[in-house]
Amino acid sequence: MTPRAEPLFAPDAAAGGGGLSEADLVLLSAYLDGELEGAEREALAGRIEREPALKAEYQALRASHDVLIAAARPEVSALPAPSESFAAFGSRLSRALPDEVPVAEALQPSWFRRIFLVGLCAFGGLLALLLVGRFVDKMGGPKPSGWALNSPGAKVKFIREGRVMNADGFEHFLAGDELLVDAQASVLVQGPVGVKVTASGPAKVSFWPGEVHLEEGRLAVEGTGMAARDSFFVRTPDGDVRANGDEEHFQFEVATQPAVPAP
Amino acid sequence: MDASPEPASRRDPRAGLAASAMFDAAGATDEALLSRLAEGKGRETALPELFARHGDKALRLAHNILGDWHASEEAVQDAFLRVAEKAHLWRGDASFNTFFTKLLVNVCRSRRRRGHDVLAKGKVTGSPSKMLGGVAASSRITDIARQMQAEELRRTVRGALEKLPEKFREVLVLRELEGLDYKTIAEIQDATLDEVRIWIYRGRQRLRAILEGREEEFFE
Repeated sequence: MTPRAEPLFAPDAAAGGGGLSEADLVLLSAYLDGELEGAEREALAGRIEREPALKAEYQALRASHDVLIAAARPEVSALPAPSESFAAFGSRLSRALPDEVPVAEALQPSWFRRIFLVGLCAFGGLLALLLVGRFVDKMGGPKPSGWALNSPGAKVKFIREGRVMNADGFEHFLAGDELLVDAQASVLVQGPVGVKVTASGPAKVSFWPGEVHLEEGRLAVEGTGMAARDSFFVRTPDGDVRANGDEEHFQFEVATQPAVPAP
Repeated sequence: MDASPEPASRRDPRAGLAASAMFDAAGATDEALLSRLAEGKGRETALPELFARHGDKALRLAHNILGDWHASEEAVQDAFLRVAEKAHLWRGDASFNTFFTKLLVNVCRSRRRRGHDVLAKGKVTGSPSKMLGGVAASSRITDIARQMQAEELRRTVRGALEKLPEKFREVLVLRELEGLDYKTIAEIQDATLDEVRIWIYRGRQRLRAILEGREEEFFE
């Protein structure tokens, strides 16, 4: 299954009407926040003056912005005072911490230390490459390029070259494999290859790195060989939603609705 | 205990701290205090000082996301504990505010998912669309708002915010209620500027639709 290729913006703005594209409206929103600069800002300001539909949308956007600010930005005086327990938390902070917390390495190691570390890393990397190479050569066949880990009791299957296989706990997969995940599964897929995952319900799928697409009640995941710092999206009918930004890993939790059967 | 002026460096706020045997937390920058924590020091000076400086402001942000005062206090306390645990990950490339806000938003997000916040459990009563009488014309939002009592309007808009998807709600709170710029929001959300632009726009559109009783448009 190939992920649906969606444009970055919807072609027509649902609320805006008047032939405005979503790209126009996104710009308008940024303009309202003073987040456009230079030529982009000048061009949009000119268009607002010339195009009645754009001007009306700008005014509506500004009105709802003003209402939100007025209603939801709390007056400091209207907020309750922090509890005594909260106010005293500062003095209790050090006791609340665990005895040992992680410590950063020194920022500026000596040149000798830097050279030593670089040499050590290079040696370690070379050794690892040799070992992995020998291991893979011994195994023969295609080289494993990632792994998937599913929660106990969950049903995860692989389709590889037309054959369906059960995945037990820790499983190597290959580029082109397809994973079928049941609704209860919690799956972690890791590896920069193009493996596809299909979930039949509200499964929890962590994929790193990769993209997630939600289509008609099915969750489809496809790796695209991106680097670890690239962007990850959950695309839903409601728009693009960024993955949760957890520092240790990226996790997607998408509760899907069952597909509506044809009448 | 530390007790002398901190030689905070603007270029590298962590530079020189290791050599500093004495430390004046009150005179140090936020980033110097964070550096102290990154080195495994200052848990009795730097951390309480950061809490004293930013605790109340953090409480307001947590309240804007969670909507419950007690849950917000717990979230802020949790976030400050995480500052000490995560300080070693800071590389001096972001301000303390950005580093801490990211931690706090993550803590609030986790709490919401675990159902700790009051608003998400449905204690806000009344549908915004009903309260607005189903009036759909966006240009009339301000007229409708003027007809409502301040508290009613506040609850209505809060209720509408609660209905937004998590990401839209977070960026709107950071932008509209905290007044952060897009670049800072992008750093906090670990996103690009384009993504932030789109989320803020879509959050606004969705919020407007909810207030106008058109939210079903997004769920068809």
